[in-house]
Amino acid sequence: MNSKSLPDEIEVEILVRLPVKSIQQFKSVCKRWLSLIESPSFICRYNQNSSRFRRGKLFCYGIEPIAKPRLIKSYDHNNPTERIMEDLDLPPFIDDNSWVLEGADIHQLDPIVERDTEKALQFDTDLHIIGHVNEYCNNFINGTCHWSCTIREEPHHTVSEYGILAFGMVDHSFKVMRGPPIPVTNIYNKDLCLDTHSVWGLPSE
Amino acid sequence: MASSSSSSLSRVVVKSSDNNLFVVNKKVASQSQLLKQCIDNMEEKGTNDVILIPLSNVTSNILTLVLEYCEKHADFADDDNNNQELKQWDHEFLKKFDYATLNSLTMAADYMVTKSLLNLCCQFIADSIKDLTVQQIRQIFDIKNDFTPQEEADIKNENAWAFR
Repeated sequence: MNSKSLPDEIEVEILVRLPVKSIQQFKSVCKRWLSLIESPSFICRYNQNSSRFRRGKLFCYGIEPIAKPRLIKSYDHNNPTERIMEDLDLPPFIDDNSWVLEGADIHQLDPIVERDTEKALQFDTDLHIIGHVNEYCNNFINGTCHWSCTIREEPHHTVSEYGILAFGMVDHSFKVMRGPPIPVTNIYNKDLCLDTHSVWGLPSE
Repeated sequence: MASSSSSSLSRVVVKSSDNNLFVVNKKVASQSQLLKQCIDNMEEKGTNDVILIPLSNVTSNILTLVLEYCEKHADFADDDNNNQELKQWDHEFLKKFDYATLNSLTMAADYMVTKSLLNLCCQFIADSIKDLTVQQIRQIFDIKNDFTPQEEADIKNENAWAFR
């Protein structure tokens, strides 16, 4: 059997299907793989594939009643107003103003978290995700993305908690670390600015 | 498939790179866009003769496997890709092969434009190599390590979290 190595384009097809952890390791296989994995075209391709191959679960919580959550389908960094949004018709209700988004992908939220809060607010008034996220991956430590967020277990709780949402690139799961409880009135205080765009993750299966 | 009474082709003959002939019925052959294109072209010309399609890149043992896959998938409708039985069959089908065979099968799927098989193979290979060490990857893909020890150590240090 001829075990001649695979053509580049098929190697790419295989590599884009690997989890981030493997991709990072396999950079040290050889120089060709290193430059391939670090090339802009590969990274772009990898991110496009991410929604198909690496799914987690997101829990979105609407502050205004029944605003339909939306995900960003495409986004042009040079022209932020040109983003294409898609209404999510799926979510089964948990209560009057919250949804579970099965299969939503953290990567689809990238464009939001890359924008500063004000701009994001203009574009995504319908999208309320628990937790304040203003910069993507500025807290990328040990293979995990961290966002600060607020945690509210029930919509009418008067006490809430600061927390940290972590998305582990290794096991592709969301984790929430809880902080000290704070009165909910403080969370919606404009100065604290925690009620605009926020993310809460549930552990993926 | 029983021979069709219509004027369209009911079967084609496919020739492997080592000159073995395979008679394939049209429905099975249509799983490959390459073969389907050949058939469509011939039908457009109004040919009723059985056509011969030579595949210069595919050996007969790999072609046998591709056709086995096509035959199975021809029994299911296009939108049946999520069918549990079919998925199970796909997995059992690929499980039998070593990496060399998988690689050849992947290349044949690419060459014959059998997209579902190509996707399946790539996903299967990805799933089976994701937990391997860098050294094992080099062996499987027959890749020489062209880093100096220092360069390799630097890359590993940059991505230390991934190696735990």
